[in-house]
Amino acid sequence: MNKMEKAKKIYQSIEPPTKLNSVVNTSIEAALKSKHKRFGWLKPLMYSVASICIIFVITLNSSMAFAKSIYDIPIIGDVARVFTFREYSQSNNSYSMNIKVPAIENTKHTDLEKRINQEIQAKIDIIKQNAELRAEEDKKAFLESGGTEEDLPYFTVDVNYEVKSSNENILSFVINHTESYANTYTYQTFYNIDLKSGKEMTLNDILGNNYKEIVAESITKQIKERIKKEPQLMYYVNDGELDEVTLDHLQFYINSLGNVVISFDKGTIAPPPVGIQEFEIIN
Amino acid sequence: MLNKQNDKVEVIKEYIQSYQNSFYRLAYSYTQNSEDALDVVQEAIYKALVNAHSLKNSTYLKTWFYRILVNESFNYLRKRKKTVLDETVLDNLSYENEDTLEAISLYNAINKLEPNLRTIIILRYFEDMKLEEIATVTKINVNTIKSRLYKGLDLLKNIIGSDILE
Repeated sequence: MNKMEKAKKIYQSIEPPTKLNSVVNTSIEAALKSKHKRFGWLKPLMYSVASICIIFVITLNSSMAFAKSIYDIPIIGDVARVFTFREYSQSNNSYSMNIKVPAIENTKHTDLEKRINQEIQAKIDIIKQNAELRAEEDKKAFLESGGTEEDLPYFTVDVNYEVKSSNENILSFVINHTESYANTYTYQTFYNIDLKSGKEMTLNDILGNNYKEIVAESITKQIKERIKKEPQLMYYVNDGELDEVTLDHLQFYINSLGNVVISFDKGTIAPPPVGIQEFEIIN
Repeated sequence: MLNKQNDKVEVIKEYIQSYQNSFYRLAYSYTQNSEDALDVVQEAIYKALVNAHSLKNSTYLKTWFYRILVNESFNYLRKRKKTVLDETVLDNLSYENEDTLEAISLYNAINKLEPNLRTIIILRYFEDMKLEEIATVTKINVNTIKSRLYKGLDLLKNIIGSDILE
């Protein structure tokens, strides 16, 4: 028997307290009985909040004069902006939904505006449909397993937006899709569109050919600083090195200082509880 | 495949009741104290059952549940301010010979590893999981798991001063 096997014996000799069994059974009963009521002994993190972010970054034509000369559109008062296009909420006994649909205007690029606005609407329609479908399925399963209408599991869906930066060159905003349930889901979708060319902006465009090195170096440094401050933090990186796959799939937005901010989905670069991880790349 | 939601819940419930001691031990390896370990287990069970629908295939029941449990343990580590150690573990041991003492120092050294290395060592050697299973539990790719495993073993070797797998 090697030393590790002996250590295993020690590990296995940890005797759980006698009350473990009752703790386990209480937890099982509570979970089965009701999924939407808070229990005194439960911590708020049961209803941890999920955040699904969709971030759009739009770089506006850097020269207004240029825009004017080509499109001959009046400029005064026509600052490109994000606004609430539509707002609605609905709820029943298994969920409540509060949705703010953002849209962009005055970008001087009708096609692009139309495309992005339609895309946002389509995404939100899917979020809405999924929530309704899930409520339906959950309800069916819950009633089949012996639950009553009154004790239906409950969840909330919120969609809203936040402008990250807005000036004559850049319009960058985030759409937050937040689901509160017993579990946490986070997905981010980013759009970086160069209005001049009508193409999506890449990190290569902004940071140059060696953007991977720049990003990797900066993030490695920032991870080290964060771990130094908070030693319990952990990142899914080997000795602080980002792997190629990660570097091939970077997502970002532009902040108010005009800097690129790399944002990692919850659970992709660090354990899920620490949430979305962002790294500002100061070039 | 599990077809009915209540069958699935029943399977999960049975599994939890049968392996509760293992869950406690794993949670304890993070919390190092009994009350907090009970808290972690309690929350993991609650989350697992409320999210029974996210278990697509009962074959993955073990890794699915361990994933929730490990997440919950990390949640705990992130929130706790200070570890309150209790020494009950070693009370049960008889200090028979040098071998046992060596195993104890190895066990203690494992508990002092940083949590991401500790998780892999414990799942691999104490819970007898395959590297692929550990990858599923931790959502870390197998190559990273391997390199962390070697790194962990290396650190332990340095602390213990001899090869631990011999």
